[in-house]
Amino acid sequence: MIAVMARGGEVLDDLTVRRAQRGDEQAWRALIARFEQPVHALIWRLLAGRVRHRVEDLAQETFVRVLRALPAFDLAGPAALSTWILTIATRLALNELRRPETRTLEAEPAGTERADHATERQRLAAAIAAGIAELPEPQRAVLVLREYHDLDYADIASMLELDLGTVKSRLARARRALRDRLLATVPDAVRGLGGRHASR
Amino acid sequence: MQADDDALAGIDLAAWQPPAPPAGLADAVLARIREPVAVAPVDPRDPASRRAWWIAGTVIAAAATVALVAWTALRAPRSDRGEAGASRALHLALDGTTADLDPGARVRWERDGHRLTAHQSRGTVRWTVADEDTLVIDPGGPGATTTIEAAGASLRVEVQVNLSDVRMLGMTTLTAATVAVVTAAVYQGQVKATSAGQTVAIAPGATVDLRTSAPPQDRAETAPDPPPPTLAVAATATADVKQLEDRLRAADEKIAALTADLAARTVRRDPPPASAENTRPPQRTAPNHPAAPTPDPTEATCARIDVEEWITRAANQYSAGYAKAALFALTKALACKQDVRMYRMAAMYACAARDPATAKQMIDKVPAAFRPALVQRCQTEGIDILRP
Repeated sequence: MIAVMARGGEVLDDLTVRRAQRGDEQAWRALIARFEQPVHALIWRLLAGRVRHRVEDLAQETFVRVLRALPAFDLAGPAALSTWILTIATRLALNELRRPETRTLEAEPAGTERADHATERQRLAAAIAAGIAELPEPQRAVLVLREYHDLDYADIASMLELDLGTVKSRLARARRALRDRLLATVPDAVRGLGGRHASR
Repeated sequence: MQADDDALAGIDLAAWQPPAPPAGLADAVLARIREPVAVAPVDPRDPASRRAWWIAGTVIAAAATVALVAWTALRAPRSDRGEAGASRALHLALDGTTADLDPGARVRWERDGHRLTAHQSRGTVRWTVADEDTLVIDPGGPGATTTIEAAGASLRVEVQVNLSDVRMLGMTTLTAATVAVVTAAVYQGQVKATSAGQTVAIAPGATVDLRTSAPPQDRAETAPDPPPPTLAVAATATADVKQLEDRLRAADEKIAALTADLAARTVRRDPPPASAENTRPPQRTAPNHPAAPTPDPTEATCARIDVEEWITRAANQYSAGYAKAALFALTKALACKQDVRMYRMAAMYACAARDPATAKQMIDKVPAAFRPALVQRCQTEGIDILRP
């Protein structure tokens, strides 16, 4: 049985996907429920530093486009359904980043906790958000997709229509820039925590 | 690259977590997917709405009118003209009416509505005239006294020309072609033919000869021999006409080859041994030319044969690409009349017919001054006359 494995480990069986392709509303809801978290998180991270309602708008727009294009999606094709959905979300977010007028003056809250709380982890989260927001858009997209959504280089290259070498070089530059920023702003928090990868 | 991969080692990137997705995302998405296209309600009493309906109706009526006019214009035959000379069999579609040209035929046509005027200057053309068309063939050109008029008919028209009035103007040789005889064979439909001011209706199956100076003559009245049964069938069975004509043409060519061979044998015949009775010179032998190939019994035939007509027919066949038939026709004429011009033509026809034996015999009868050109002509056909 073909199954679509989501990052969180849940499985969307191929029967549900095929029902969704035929326009079954329950299958649509199942698909949205399965992918709303990674889609929303991806857009939120890519739009770090922008107003929150745009994230929700883009998450909606992503699923609208997914459902409209779903009948033509080839389940046996080279792209996984999850990668395909995240590609749509990424492109919408990057298009949004190219619009100059919606940048906010204040940083978005990190998670449910605010950065002005005096905990070290919250300060780190705020520093990461600020550091990623300062990255150039191409580097930001590569870093978020790799570090937070665990996509491999080939998938990232396909999603962003780049060659593999470009993905690797952009990722390297993004990592160095973010590390330098964090070491400059929250050196204690960086040294004090041993976690390597983000939990997704 | 390893150093870059480790650049974020020790940093808890998971500290930066997004908020939970907004509740009701699925509902919002499905609402957007299913939201109907906003359509303003139409109040039939609204004057603007009624005006829109009137405008729409007018536009539809105008479009229908334009379409009807365009359809009518496209359906009606256009007025046009054209000209075609066939080096090989050629089919012309002239808005419903068709013309099949044999090799050598030449036609110029002009259409004015349903009236199609064709100037068939030479060669054989099979015409199929559409029911709504009227075809007028004037072989002699505009103002000619010989015309054929057909409507919804199928017929074959053969125009034979005389090549005459050869004149030298400076370095240019002008040859005026005049129509000798027009033959119309009707397969079906109504056909009228006019010559010398007299008009006759040609019934299906009949063949009529038209000459400028004589009224139309039924081929059955003028032909000395009755047509073979196959010809009668051909005249009445339209579907088989073309096949029978092809067979007839092949038979003609075969007869031509045999006749040419017979003529060659006759010409090659050695003079009888000298004796007391045969010491006198032959009566019809020219100094530079051998004896006429035709024995005495043919003299009566020669009296009946129109030599010039055979020569003309040979020229027509040659120009139409039927070299063997041309040689056959010229051999007929050569049996009754011999001169340098005819031997030259015979040599040329024989070369074109790829008959080297006849070609060599004919070239031998031609003065030396004319031979190089004929030898060269034969060489173009792959025949080396000079080779023993």
